[in-house]
Amino acid sequence: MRRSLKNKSISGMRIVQRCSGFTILELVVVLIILAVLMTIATSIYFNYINKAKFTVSISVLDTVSKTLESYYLDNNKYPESIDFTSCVDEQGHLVFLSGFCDQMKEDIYSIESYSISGTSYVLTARAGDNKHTLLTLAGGKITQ
Amino acid sequence: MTFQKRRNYYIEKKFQTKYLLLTLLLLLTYTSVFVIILFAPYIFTLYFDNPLAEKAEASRVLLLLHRKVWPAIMGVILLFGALSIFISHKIAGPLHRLKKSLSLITEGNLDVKVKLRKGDDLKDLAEHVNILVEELRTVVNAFRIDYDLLSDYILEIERDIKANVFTEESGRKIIKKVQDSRKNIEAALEKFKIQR
Repeated sequence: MRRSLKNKSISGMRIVQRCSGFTILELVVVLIILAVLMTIATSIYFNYINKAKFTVSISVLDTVSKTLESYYLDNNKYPESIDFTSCVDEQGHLVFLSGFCDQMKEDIYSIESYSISGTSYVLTARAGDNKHTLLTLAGGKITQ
Repeated sequence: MTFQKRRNYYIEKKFQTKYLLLTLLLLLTYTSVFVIILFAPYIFTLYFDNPLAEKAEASRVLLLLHRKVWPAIMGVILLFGALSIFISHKIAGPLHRLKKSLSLITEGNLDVKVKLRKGDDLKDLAEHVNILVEELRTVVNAFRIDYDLLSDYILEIERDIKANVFTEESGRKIIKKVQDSRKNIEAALEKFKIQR
């Protein structure tokens, strides 16, 4: 890391200036390389963050499915309709626990629709990932 | 040299930029290592085919860390970036003053005295520069005395020749005096070692 010698003449004297250590140029080059590597790493990282948001949404819908199954066991039917803001059914009974209700609002981008037909239900929701993937929960199965 | 109130913390731009970049480089390296250690286990859980519950748990922790860790890391990078300017200034300030003093000395001003502030770094170096200037001043003074003496001897010879009183004896006396001055100059020069 040694730069070439510079000779300057001041008042007839020759001054030899020797610069050693890192030069600014070397540091800038290393920082640029690091920035490029970090850009690649950031892209991979955000891909996983997106995947994590999607997984969390799937997990929430899985819990919704289990909760609706236990509702079915208790009432012998699925709720006719659900108010997803307060998580109550058409009769005002709580379908989901309040803690889970809050978590659902946080982890799922939006609930698009909920409908029942005979002994089954269909729930569509948008996942919390960047694309807001449309997820469909029907008969205990989650599909995209 | 007079002291001015230090308001400019970016006085030696090249030197301080170098240390700012070095600090940022170190911080980015540490951050990368820290982030890899912190996030890698959860990313691996998501990457491999694990049960949904396990993946969901890892995802929740990953998202929580994502929300909490990055603002803290940015804060630390900004704080240490600013601190590196303050810390490098502790060196750059005295260095700037030393550089200015050495330029004056190079121009031939030997009345320069490097004065640093209380608590400044590089005081030892400044003291050494002051000793060097003092030594140079002594040598230059010795040369000046001998220069004056030699000028006087030349005048004496010229006067004697003009008055036609220059004898061998008076010539010998002056040669002895010149030799004394020569010895003084030789003694002063002996201090300096120069390859010829």
